[in-house]
Order: sequence, then C-alpha cells, then structure tokens
Amino acid sequence: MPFAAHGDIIATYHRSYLILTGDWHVSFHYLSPSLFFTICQIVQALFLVLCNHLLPLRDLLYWKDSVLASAAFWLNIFIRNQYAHRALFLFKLPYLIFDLATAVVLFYLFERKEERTIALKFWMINPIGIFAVYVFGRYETIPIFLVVLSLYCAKTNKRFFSFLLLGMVAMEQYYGLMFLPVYLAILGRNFRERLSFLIVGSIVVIRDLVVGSSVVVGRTFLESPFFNYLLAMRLDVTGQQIYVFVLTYVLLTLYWIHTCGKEFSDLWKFALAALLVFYATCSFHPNYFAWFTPFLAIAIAKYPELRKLHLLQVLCFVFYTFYWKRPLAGWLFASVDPSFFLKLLSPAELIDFFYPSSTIISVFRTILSGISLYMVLILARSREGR
Amino acid sequence: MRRRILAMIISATISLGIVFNINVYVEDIVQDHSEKPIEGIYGTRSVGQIFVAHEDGLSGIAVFFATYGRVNTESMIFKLRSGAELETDIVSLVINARSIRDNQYYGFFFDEIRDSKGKIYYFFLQSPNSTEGNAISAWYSSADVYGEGSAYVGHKPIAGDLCFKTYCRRALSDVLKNLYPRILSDKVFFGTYFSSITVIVLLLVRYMTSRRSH
Repeated sequence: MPFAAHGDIIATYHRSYLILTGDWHVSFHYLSPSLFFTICQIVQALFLVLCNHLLPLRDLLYWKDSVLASAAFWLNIFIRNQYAHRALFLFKLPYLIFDLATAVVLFYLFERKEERTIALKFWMINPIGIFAVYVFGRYETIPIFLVVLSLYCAKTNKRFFSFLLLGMVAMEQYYGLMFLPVYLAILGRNFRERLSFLIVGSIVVIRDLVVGSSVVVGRTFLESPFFNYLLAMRLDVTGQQIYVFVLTYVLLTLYWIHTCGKEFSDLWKFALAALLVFYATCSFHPNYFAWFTPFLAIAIAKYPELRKLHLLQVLCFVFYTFYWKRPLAGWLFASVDPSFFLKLLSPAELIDFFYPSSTIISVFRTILSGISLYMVLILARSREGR
Repeated sequence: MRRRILAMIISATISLGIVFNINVYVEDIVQDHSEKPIEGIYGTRSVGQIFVAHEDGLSGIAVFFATYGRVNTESMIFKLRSGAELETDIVSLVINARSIRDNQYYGFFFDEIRDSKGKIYYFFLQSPNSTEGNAISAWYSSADVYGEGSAYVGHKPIAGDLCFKTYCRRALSDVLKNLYPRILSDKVFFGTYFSSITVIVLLLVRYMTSRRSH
C-alpha cells in the first residue's frame, strides 16, 4: 500500500488540499466549485485534517496554476519526499475504510451463508480492485460503496435513499446514470413516483445545467472525457454515425424493462450487464474496471461459471494496462527507487522490439470485449430461465 | 497445519530470492531527437554513433530505423567497439533487414558488459550486400543534441547524432539496496507499518490454525 501509486492520487489530493486551505477560491476562482467539491474530494479533505500533523502537506500536495495531475511533480518532487511512503499509506487509508464498509454491506445482501462467503472472499482478493485502489491509488471504493449501499436500500425497500445514493454516485462518476432506467422501471410504482425518483437520481444533470449556463469554467457530462469514451466506437452509415455503446445499451435496457420481473436480482444483473457492455464497446481507464467488481462478486456467488471467465478477463486486463506504457508499469512503483523504476522498460516497449505491441494489446483488448459480451449473454439467459 | 505454514514461509522466501535475482533492462542513454533519416546503409557506407555509458551492465542498444516503407532483404551487421582507439569489436551481431520495421526502434541485445560505466563506446551498422533502393537507414538529428558523442558515417564523424537508446541490466535486488535508506529516513512510519503487518499476518495464521483444529 505505501509503495505504489499513480499521479492521479496526488492530483485528487491536491484538489482536496485546495479545499482544505481555501486556495481553490483564491487561485482558481474562474473554475466551477463542482470541480473541487465532489464527494470523494470532500472525504479526502476531511481526512487531510487528521493528517495535518503527520505529513508536510504543502510540500507533498501543492503546486501552482493547475488542478490536474502533474507528472513532473509526481516523479520529481512527490516520490522523492522523505514522507512519500507515509503519505501514500495514509492517503489510501480512507479507501480501505470504504472498502471494508462495502464488504459489510455486501455481507447483508445475501441470505445464504455459502453465497455470502464466496462473495466476500472474491471481494477481498479480487486483483482488479486491489490494483485500481491500492496500486493505482484511485478513490473508486467510495463510489462503489455508494452503489452497493444503494443496492442494499433497494433490497430493503428504502427506495428514495436508493435513488439518492445512485444520484450521489452519478455526481462522482457518471456511470451511476447508466443504471437509472432499470432502477426506475423496477422500483417505481407509478408515474409520479418514477418522476420524483428520476429527479433525485439524476441530480447530476441539474448540476451540469448550472455549470453549463454559468460563466465559470466547468465540465459537464457532454464535455467530459467519459462521454467521449462512450461514443468512441462507431459505425459510419453514409456519413451518419451509429454509436455502438448507445445502440447496445438501448437494446439491453429495453430488453430488461420489457422482460422486467421486478425482482431485486434484476437490478444488480442489469448494472453488471450495462458495465460489461461499457467495457466491451468503450474506451476506459484501468481504474474504471473496478466499477463492476461488487456486482461481479454477487454474480460469481450465484453463477460459478463466471469465475473462469473473470480469470480470463483479468489476464486480458493485464495486457490492456500495457496501453499506458510506463505510467502504468514501473512508474507506479517509482517511490521505491526512482533511479530504477523511472527507467524500467514497460512491457509494451519490450514487446515492441519483436512485434508491434499495439497489435498484441488490441488482440487481448478484443478478447476482453468478447468475454464481457458473453457474460452479458449468461446474465440475460439466467433471467429467462427463472 | 504448522508444516503447511512452514512450507508456505519457505516457498515464499525462495520465491522472493528468485524474483530479486531476476535481471531486467533499464534505460541508460536516451537520444530521441531526430528530424530525418541519415543516408542509406549499404556497400561500404556504415552508420554509427559514439556514446559514453552512464551505468554498469551495458547490454543493449536500440536504433530508430527508417525502411522507406519497403521490405529490405539483405543482412545487416551491428558492431560495438571499445578501447582506446575504438577498434576492438566486443559485439558483432547479424540480422536480416526484413525484421526491421519502419519508424520503430530495433534493439540489439548482447551479453552484459559489467564495468561499462564511464567508458566510451562506438557502435555502427553496415550492410555490404545492400544496394541503393534495397537498404535501410537510421533516423538522426543534425543538431548536436547528445553532447557525449556524435554520429559517424563511413567511420568519420559528422555533425549531429543518431536517434538511439542504450540499456543496461540491473538485478531487482538493487531496488532493495536503494529502498533501505528510504526506510531509515522514516523509521517511525515503517516501524509501525511493518509491526502492524506482522501482527495481522500472525492473527490470520492463528485464526486459520484454530479454524482447522475445530
């Protein structure tokens, strides 16, 4: 935990530090507060209050004129600081707390002891989650906790809170919006209820409307890289574009709603299927791959045939990370020995000496898509068979 | 159960020993500026570069090649020289130009030169059987972007440098040597961290042992 991190963790903690000191308003008054006041960054800022006496926060987290990740700061200043390892450990501690909280909620999602044990074991040792959170250093456990809690609220019939939590997830990571249609179809009892839940669940849209219509510089859903990832795979039809993700997502949603059984399992199965379609048809950052792990934990407990498929997914994912070359290879461990890891060749560079690495990586990327779509098929068939 | 735990500890120790003895390639010199390919490498026209190794364990040199978008068929000789007059061949490799891809690095790897640090080396490429129209070239920069040597054509220095990288081999155990002083620089944290890890592992072992005996 204290030996690895990507520059992203420093960037998000930098923004949290700006919240803590109030510098966000002084130095970045032209930026929208929505860039700073996200749930994860607020949680991190609160945690920094506790770390104030344990770490030289200004030396570790402050640079001028940018709120984004600075590779130069990460590799030349942060990792060479005497307290870098201590900082990395403490910065990941809130993620561990949310990780454990997610395990507790997952525990209560199951009635059968055997299923519960399998799901918890999977949750604890899943390499994707460990990589995304404790090696890469992203705050994914926080939105994941909210998603799982939302699922628990849906199960215990606290429907308003379920949508509220889903809305909070969408505020943090837009993928929360993907689940909304089926949540509404299953949990809403009439039009009025569905409308009110829709407003709560899509509160991020209201935020975006405010940001989009104001003079400050912000980033709405349509301007976010996530939106571009969704539309990355497209078919050209005499100059018109058909977006593959949108097409498959609409198909999936309509199928789920059309065959809706109003069962709790329909919620998590749809969430898992939607994310699998996303991984199959969109470009995504490696940390995004952690999003589906809680749903997969539930699925694997119930459908053991998914285990082997997931193992194959993990193997393909390892190759997928090669796309990012050194920042996702040796640089992750740069704090251990900068002189060694900054110069260490990435797997892609080594492959390049013999064969174009992009081809090899793309083959594994394609296999990953194939496996993900096959898993969607298994989930869809499991609904037909009940 | 105790035997199993003992076996696990022994196998973990052996695995760590093996892992830390693995040698990996680490970049040493990176000269990645280039604006055009140097002349074609054919006949008596060789192309090379002088450089000074910064690390021990020199074991590879990669050159950024141009194939002019065609398949070139003749063999290519790579030689590395050292010594006072740079006339002693210490590495000689032959490859076919077919295996070189356009606008990509090609790596020439050889046995590790253990005491390479601070020494001057000269590598060059020649292809006596190639002809104009069936020859590859290497990218270079006409500006003197690499201060510790220069490019050579026909064993004569020219202004500018080839686009090249050098690699040395380092054992993963080197990382431990460098991590040690870092650990000492924050004793309070690492003391707490390693003791906590030990306690957690011991509690886990105890839990597993008691569960098995039940």
